[in-house]
Amino acid sequence: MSTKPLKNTIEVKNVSIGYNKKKHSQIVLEDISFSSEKGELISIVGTNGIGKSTLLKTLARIQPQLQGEMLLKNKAFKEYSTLDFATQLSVVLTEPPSSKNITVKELVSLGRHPYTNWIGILTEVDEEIIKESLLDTDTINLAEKKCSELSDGQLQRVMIARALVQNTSIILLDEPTTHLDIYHRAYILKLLKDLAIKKKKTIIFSTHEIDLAIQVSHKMIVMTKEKIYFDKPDKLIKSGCFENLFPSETIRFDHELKQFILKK
Amino acid sequence: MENQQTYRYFFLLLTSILLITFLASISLGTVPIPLKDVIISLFGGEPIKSAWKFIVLEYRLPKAITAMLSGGGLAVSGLLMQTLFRNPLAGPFVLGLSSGASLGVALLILGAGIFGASFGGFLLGSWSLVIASAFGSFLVLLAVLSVTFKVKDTMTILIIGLMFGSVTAAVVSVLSYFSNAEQLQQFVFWSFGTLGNVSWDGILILVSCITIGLLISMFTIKALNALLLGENYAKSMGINLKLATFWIIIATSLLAGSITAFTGPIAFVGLAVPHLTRQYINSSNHMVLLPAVFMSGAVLMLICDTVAQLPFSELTLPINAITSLIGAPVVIWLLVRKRKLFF
Repeated sequence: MSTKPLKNTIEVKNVSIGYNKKKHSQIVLEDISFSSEKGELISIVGTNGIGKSTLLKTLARIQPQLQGEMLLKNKAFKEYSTLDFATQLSVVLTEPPSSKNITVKELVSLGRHPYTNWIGILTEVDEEIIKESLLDTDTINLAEKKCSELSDGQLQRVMIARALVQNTSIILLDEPTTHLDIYHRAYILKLLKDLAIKKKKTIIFSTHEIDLAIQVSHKMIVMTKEKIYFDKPDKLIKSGCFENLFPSETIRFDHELKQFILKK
Repeated sequence: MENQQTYRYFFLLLTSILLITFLASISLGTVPIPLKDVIISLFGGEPIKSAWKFIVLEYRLPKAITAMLSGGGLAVSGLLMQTLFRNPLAGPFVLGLSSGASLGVALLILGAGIFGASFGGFLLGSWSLVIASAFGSFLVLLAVLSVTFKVKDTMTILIIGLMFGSVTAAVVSVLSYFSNAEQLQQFVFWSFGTLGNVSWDGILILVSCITIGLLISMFTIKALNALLLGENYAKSMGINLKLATFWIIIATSLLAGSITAFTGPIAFVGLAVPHLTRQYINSSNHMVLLPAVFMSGAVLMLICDTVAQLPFSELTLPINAITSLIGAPVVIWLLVRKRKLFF
């Protein structure tokens, strides 16, 4: 392993995403390529139904990889066992936890699963890591609350705490800002950037908040039917890919303001 | 952790309640036996009347043990199903296990008339009933398991289990239609459920099945906890979902199947006890829930059994009716008071 330093945490080359049907596979989007480094916050934007969630689910191995090559720390995704994969990559999905009765502390503790023994006893080290994550996400005062008593913003922070506890180098989040007010949207994105930089994690998330994503992300994946763009936000603005994102009769992208403006 | 302290007191309390209901169930009955003499008999001494020792050791003790095991076992299998399917309505019988058992017994009792009485009379020992119902639920289980390997979605498995249940219930109806009154009565009596017919040999088999079932359940605790967040999360935390589902279904079938084989179908306990337990235990961790649910199930069944004997009278009511008669109002009262079903 020490032969060459690991630069890229994830490398995706010419990957097709979609679903496996009985005899043939239905491809949603083809030819996706990007790579991520340690400490990078990467956002995925694009219109509804373009395949943002499908891409994230493919990266999380929830959905099959149809074509192309996907490497995690120079090793193919497929070669990881379920357990090893869980120590490398954690997720925050759009689906709420099935149990409403579970307390915040219990939910966050579940993130230690890949490391605990056969029956799931938490060691002192585990307890320390859990406490640290609760502090990092500002949820420690919610620890004894039930998930049914949380607001959407609080629940999102709790789910991020759970992913942090899993202690992976990569965290994927599917639309972490949905259902949140503008303050909480900004709060979550700032939190993600802090975590990426301070904890040297690669954080990849999908969002509809293109304006905020441009401000906060190190790099962006812009998904359109014709092409997948991957670059730094400034370069993407220059390339003009945001103009083609939506039908131009309703909104337009303003280069100066770096945001979308409603057409009058 | 202050939580662990509370749980310790809680389990201490639950253990004492279990002990009290256990002794009460042995002491009360058609012939009430004083508590002192019950304890003397249990420890091998000689009570005031020698008949009491016989009643306690040969009749009431096996019955009380069967009640404890079946109540606890059914409750645990209910908990497993509710977490696996993440559905508060799931119980041990959603996979069609009890219908399978009914079919086995129906084929034996009712089919005896169709295939000839002499052959049937030979088969109708109490052991053949156990074997028939075990065989019936095992067949349905095999069918469900083979589906489990093809279908990924647990909700689909749930519905398929219900469909298996309907089909077997329909076959039982057809058999009933062509049977004579005597056979029908015998079948109906089996379906009332009974705790008193299990011999010491039977208890040995029951204990082995339930021990294995509980051991398997213990090994699925981590998966069960992870499933509280949903299948995708569970997978992302390193749980081998197919393997876990397989073992959870095996454990449920072992527990519910063996119990139904010996006692007949006992409704309600498996569905309700996990909900009752969640009302007073402030945890979703199966490490705490599993033993708590087992003990609560045992307590509830002992109470139901004591009531079913109608102390001081010669009558005994069907246990299947009592579990629902006592249990349902309790659950309704709790739900109305708390206004929501925790899961």
